[in-house]
Amino acid sequence: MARSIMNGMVMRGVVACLPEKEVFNEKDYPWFELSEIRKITAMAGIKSRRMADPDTCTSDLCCAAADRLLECLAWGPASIDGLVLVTQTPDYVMPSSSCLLQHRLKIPETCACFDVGLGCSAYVYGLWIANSLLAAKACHRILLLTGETPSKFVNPRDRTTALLFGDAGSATALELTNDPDMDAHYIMMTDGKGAGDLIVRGGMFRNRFPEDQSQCSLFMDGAHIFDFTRNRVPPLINDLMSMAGKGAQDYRYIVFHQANEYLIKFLAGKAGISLDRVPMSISQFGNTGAASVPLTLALAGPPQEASGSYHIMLLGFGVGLSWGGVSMRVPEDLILEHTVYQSQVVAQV
Amino acid sequence: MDTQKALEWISDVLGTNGRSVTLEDTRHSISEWDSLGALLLLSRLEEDLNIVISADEIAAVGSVREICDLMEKNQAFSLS
Repeated sequence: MARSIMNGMVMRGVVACLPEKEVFNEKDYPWFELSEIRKITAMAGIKSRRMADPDTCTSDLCCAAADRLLECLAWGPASIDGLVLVTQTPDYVMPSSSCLLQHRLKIPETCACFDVGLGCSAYVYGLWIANSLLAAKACHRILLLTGETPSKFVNPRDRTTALLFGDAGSATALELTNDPDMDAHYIMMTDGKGAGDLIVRGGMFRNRFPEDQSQCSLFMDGAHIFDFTRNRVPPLINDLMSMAGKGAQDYRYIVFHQANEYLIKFLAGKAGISLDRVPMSISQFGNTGAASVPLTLALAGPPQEASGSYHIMLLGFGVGLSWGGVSMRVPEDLILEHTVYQSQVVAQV
Repeated sequence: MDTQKALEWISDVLGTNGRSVTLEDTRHSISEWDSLGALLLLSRLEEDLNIVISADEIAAVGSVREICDLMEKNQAFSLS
């Protein structure tokens, strides 16, 4: 069972990066009935989203976030010996975008870099992987980059998905520590029989050049995803709290993957979590996939009343179907920031 | 909730643009009853009426009458 308690990692900072272009559900989709838009947005709780321009990829958003993060921490690129990019929207089929990012961030060749293909659960899986590498002393400083540009695979005329997803990138600085208080509890889960519930069927090697171009756009069986979330996340929260020996009141932030505002409130209510501990970004930025948890955490910013380190719980669930959570302590001076992407020309390799 | 109110509620959830559904309507006769319509039904049944059903159960429902039967079974209203 993929349950683990690990020491050895401290989170130093999280920076999220958003594209500049803002789209509004009620204004920018005239081909849908306004009443229909209102119904969908009321259910999901999404008013606006950010959309990358056609030349901007997930790696660009993550790169800008990482640049800002390294600057905030005064970490030289040479001090990074691990870079993990978790996304479902890499630049190329091959090579891994993490390799390109190593070069762009001027990180030396002595850095281990790899991509992981996960979406909604990306951040908790990324933390779990990074913590494993740090606890094993295989790395000393890791950049965890997670992001998504769903605007590139969502059909704007598909009313099931068009109004829900936004683009964003993130960078998280993780460092080896000997501090025994910096423990983290993880639970990771998978149910591949639901793979078809949220899928882009075309474009990769099972169906390389589909005749039906709609196969290259996102398909979502919303009812099954809703059902999955409603059934699987409450036990995840309970099990994590039980593993960590904590109650809802012990966490400063409990950050849910931003899939649906109604569901987040439902899940929080079911777990007895007060909403003042549940930051949300979905109304303004939509479901940003792999970036949604770090974006929401970064937007929440440092807690006003923090005195000393504090606990957070992070929860990811969705495409795969894959889900997981982490209960962890973070230092008082954890950097939580966000920035806006300044468009630039990035040369193709 | 009486039958009329139930039909109005279903019309509102599915967003039938002012057209009120009837007991005889089916999944095929209501264009708005697609996968998104199913999701809206699932979430609003729970949110408005405290009726919790699974995605497979909602997928098996094929007509407005069956939605009403489901609501009646869960004592949201009576068809009689």
